[in-house]
Amino acid sequence: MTEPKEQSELFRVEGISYRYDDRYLALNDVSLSFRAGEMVAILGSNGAGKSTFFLCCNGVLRPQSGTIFLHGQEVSKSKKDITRQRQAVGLVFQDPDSQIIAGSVESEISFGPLNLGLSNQEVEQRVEESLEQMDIVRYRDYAPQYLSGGEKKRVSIADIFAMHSEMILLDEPTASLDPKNAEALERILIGLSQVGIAIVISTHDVDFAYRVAERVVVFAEGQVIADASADQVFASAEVLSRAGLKQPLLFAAWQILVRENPSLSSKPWPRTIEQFELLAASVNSRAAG
Amino acid sequence: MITALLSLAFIWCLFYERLPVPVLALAGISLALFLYLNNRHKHTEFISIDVVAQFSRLKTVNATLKIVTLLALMIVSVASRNAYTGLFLVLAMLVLAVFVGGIKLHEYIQILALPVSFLLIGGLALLFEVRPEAAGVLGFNVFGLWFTVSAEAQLSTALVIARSLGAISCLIVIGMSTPMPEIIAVLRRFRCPELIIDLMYLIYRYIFILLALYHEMNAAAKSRLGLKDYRTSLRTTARVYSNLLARSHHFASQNFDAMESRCFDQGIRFLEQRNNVRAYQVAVSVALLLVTLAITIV
Repeated sequence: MTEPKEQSELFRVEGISYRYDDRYLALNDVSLSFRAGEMVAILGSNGAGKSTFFLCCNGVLRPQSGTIFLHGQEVSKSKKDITRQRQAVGLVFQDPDSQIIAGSVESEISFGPLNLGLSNQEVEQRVEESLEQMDIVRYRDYAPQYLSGGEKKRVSIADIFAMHSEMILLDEPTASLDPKNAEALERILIGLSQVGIAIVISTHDVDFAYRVAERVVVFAEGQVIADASADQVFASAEVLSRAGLKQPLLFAAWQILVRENPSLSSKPWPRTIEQFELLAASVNSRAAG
Repeated sequence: MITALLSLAFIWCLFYERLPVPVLALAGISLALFLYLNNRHKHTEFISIDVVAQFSRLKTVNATLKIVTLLALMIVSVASRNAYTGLFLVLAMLVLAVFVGGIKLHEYIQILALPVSFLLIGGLALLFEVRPEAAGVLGFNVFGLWFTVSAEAQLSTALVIARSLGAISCLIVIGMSTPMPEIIAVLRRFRCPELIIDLMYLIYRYIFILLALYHEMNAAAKSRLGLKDYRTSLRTTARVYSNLLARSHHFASQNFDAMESRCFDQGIRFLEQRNNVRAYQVAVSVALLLVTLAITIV
């Protein structure tokens, strides 16, 4: 798991639309592509189409129009292609309780790999690898329903990691997590991205998205209204207001600092409070000097 | 409370004129108190048998050997014409689960208490006969009809209860010592249809998930005085149940999506722990079976 980070196109959707019950249009002509190892945040208010988009990407829902490509090849409706799509594009559900079905953590993680038809030996190896990667080896025999929210979330990510997915979609990963668990999750996601797995997060938590994502996609009424780097998206008041979002606190503070010290605009924008402190300290020392 | 009182009444009728009155009173009151206190004082809201199985020392015994032996004992218990077989199995299973398997006694009793309650209440129907005149060892006149207990009914009911208790104890030990994936694997080895296995597993899982959900909803209702009196409780319970139905439907749909997203196609499969059959385990299984058969025949 130490391959270098690749940046080739991994997954692409072109003009996909999805309508529930032939009435409510949840996705309207969405086109997006994702590269291996990139960290993308998908933002949008409730009902914007984020979860439907994820279900289409994983293949649980088939879009009524549009095309899906995996490694540049069109994904057909054949069973073989759908299995390939579900294996390559893993989906971590918002509520771990609706994802977890087994009576122990070990059995739970083995569910996906066994569905891929792998041998028991290979499955055991993958379960071991996932337990270690998510730091949940000690919970191997535990019943998932008795784990805390943060631990359950790790189990649900381990479920997907064991399938060796090349892209992991996470629906509201920080929902119902305390700050400590959210931080631990952040480290896990960065670790996965560094080994070349594309991470796509759907979230309302703009501060979390700002810290982890290189690229931000904004959904509103089933359409993509912005797809750019995080600083470009968060600097656009129009996009944020259309999507019903707020600026991340750190980014707003950074903008105030840049307004008062225009020379800082050439510097990379701070992602963490520590980076912000360093920049603020440099401004103070310059002012004192 | 009602279960405890009915059980007391049942024990009284079952052993009337067969045991001295003080012994009968002591046995009846002990059983009623046991059921009442077990219902009132629970260490947890509910016990998941699957969780208990994960920590049982019997988990390391080969699942096929365990299930085949216990099913054979169950069949012997059900086929027996002798109440001692069932009673022996109740004791043997208690020893096996608690002392050998390391399961806590209160957990074993809590799981056993539910079928015991059903058996005792169901036993009342076997015990009583409705007659136009008084007969047998005991009789109650209700609106001109006699509800009587005969000596034969006492014997046959005791036999049915003993056989059922023996069989239930064997089933409980299977559940408390074998994690679900291994039970599924054994059923698959016995060529049980996939659909039945999947349904069985999902129903089993949903019982615990919905029970947890029910407890949450009930606690939320309680916190808003939803159970303050009998009338309000009835209304609240009806709402909780209808909400539970809607939630279970939504939950099932989400759960199925989550399974499909991980390439679920047919047959729920989990990694099973393969334990080799050891000679001493076979010896213990055969010995247990032979002793049970000997008790049955003698």
